[in-house]
Amino acid sequence: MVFSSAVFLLVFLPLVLLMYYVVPERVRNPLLLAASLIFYGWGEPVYILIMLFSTVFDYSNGLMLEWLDRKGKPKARKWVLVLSLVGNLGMLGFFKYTDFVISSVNALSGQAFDLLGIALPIGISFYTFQTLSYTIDVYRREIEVQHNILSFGMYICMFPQLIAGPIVKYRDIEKQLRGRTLDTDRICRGIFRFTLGLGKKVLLANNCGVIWDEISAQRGNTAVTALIGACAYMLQIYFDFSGYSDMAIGIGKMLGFDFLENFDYPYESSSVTEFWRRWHISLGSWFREYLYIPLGGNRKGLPRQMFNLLVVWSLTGLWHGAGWNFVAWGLYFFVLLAVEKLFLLDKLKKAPAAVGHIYALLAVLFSWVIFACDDIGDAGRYILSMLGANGFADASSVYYLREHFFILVIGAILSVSFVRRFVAAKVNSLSDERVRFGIRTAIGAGLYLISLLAVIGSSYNPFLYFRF
Amino acid sequence: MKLFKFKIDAKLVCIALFIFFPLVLLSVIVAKHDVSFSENENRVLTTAADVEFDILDGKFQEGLENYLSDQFPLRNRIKGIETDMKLRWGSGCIGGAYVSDGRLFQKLLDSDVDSGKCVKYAAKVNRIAEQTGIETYVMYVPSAGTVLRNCMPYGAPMYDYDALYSSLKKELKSVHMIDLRNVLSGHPEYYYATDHHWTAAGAAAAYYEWRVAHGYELDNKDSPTVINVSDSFRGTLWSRVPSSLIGSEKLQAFELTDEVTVEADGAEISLYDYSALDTKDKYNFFEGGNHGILTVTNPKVKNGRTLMVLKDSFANSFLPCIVGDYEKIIMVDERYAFIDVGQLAVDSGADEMAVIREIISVG
Repeated sequence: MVFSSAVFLLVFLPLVLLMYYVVPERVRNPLLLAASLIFYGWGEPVYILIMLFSTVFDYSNGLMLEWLDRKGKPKARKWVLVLSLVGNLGMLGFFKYTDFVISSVNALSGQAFDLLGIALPIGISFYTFQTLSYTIDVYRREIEVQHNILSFGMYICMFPQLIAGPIVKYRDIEKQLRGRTLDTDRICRGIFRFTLGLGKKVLLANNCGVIWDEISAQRGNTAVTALIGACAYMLQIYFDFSGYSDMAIGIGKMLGFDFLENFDYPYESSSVTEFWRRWHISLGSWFREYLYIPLGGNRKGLPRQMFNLLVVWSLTGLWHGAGWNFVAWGLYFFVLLAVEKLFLLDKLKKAPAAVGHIYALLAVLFSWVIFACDDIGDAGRYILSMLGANGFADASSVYYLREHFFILVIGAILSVSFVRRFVAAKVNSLSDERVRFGIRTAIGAGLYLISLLAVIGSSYNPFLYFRF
Repeated sequence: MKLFKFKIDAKLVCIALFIFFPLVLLSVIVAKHDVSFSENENRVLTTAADVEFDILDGKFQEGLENYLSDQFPLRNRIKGIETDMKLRWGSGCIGGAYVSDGRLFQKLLDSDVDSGKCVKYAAKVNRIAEQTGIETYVMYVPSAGTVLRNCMPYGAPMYDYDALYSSLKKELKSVHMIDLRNVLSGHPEYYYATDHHWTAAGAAAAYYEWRVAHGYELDNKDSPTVINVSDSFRGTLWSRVPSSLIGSEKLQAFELTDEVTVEADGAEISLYDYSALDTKDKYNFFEGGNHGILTVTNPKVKNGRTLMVLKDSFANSFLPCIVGDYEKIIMVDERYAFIDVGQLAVDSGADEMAVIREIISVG
């Protein structure tokens, strides 16, 4: 199920919230677990089994680690960790990368092995990383083992962030699993946050997506047209992804959880290094904590640090999708980050601030083209057209600019923190708490209604030719 | 005196609204009478009865989502208001249609056109013409946007008609091509403002070219007389841009001079179906819409000529122009009749064959 659907907005969310608020506290975790399984199974019911397997598997690994500690066999603990890594990554690898490996082998060797055509279980990349964070932290003795399988299951399957993050580390919500405070203030903040995210997704991301889809489907775009398309995609992916995180964090708050922030106005960055501290924060911190630092981080000399970065960014690329364009995308960032670490960051600090911002925006803009084009050849052609291989502009550039100017400008303005800071400052300067609440409610209600109508409106689908 | 003993907490009200507003909407959807067909969209809507309870297959999930969106209260009204707002804002493209000065154009990009299929179809027509030796005319109709560029929003992209035409012409070596580009170019009155079809005036202009190509003497026959049959026509493009700001227009047809017999898929019909004028889909006035195979016999004509037409809906309004030229016309719409048209041409004794369709329509 996706958040921006009629079933979620009109049926699932209100019913789950209603039940959640009326049942006694001890029933809330099991209720959330059940709701999450329905949410997850909505698209592909069979994959609930994978979810349940993951839950039982990592729950048992946790217990086993604890048992070995009690038995005084600390050496054997390593094998449990290996088992967990192989199990979790093996499952991710099987479902996500098998066909990618087969088609790559076919391409390299000229063979024609059949693809398996396995449907990717939604959210598997996210929850695999969540379960790993649990087992690794238990192994490191940084957290206590969870004995209640229902609470553990709820952590793995929790529907708000199940499909598109943020990746919630077990230790960050360990206490919240045991008990949460529900108060009207927090719930209202959650609702407001949710409506902001819904608006970002439905009103901005979807409309920007249409522009990119249209322009990228055409060959021979002029530079201006191609740039409009790329900018539209840049805004689409930001509002889509951060909107989803907003909705997840908002629903979390309605249920009494506090998830960590996942985006911090990444397009305000003045270097690629900074961009990755502000974009999909939970993924970056996961890789840093569970891969980069264990590999030695920057503590073992420059060559080793570069190697570590290479590993982390190849895998970050692959994590985003099973395709060579994602590998290329990861390596692109590896190169930029390495260059920044070697000397560029120092140079950027000395240069006027605008230089850093322009550099970072352009670097990210080109990266999204690689990200969006499944075929590396297509990405190359598109980038060439952005650079003017098909001329600077033509009549259709004027059309696209006129037609989409408004949404692109609005998107650009809202993707930086200026407006939010300005509005927040204005609203907070009002002394009457009721007025502040009223303004927030009006914004939230407006966004909710318009978004709901947009979701319904997207089903309006005239059939041009005769009915068959 | 205080009316309420309890102080109402605004936040509690806000939470209650967030939960109960959608549930009230849901109850309205369930309680109200289901609408089974959307005239505007020309498609069947999902009703509660259509939702199958097959969860493992995902049919229930899909059905429920469609049901909720399709039966949402005031759905058409909401779409209309949204469209009005977009028009007022000055959008040049709404719902897959370009909008300019109250005229609508179907937006068709190169990526929307399956040129491979078009070429394949052209090759098939050419092969039939060669194998049967039947004289064949191909009259492709340009999509409005490709010949009325000046009437569209400036720079609005359309597929490359000229490129497509020449690649098809290369395949069609053994036929007579009737090129309508020049005659239809720059005449907005040749296409409906709210529909993708040509008007009777457009069809009449094409008929002039048709006569030239056939070598008819041009002054021995007057152009067909155009009549208005309805003042309230809103075509398929209007359904994409369902706004009260775009008015209805006149539906045109040709005055019929000959009494002809029309048979479609085994039943007798008439060239003009006046009952269609009371429905939303008024273009179905012509022969009551598309049929797999439709035969017109004109007892007044005694030239022994039989024409077989491979067509799409553009030919429906063109047909009345040519009924006076043949004893028998067989129209085949291959989207509805899955037959070997080459065989049919031979079996029916056709001595002429024609393709009359929008250039991009295939199958």
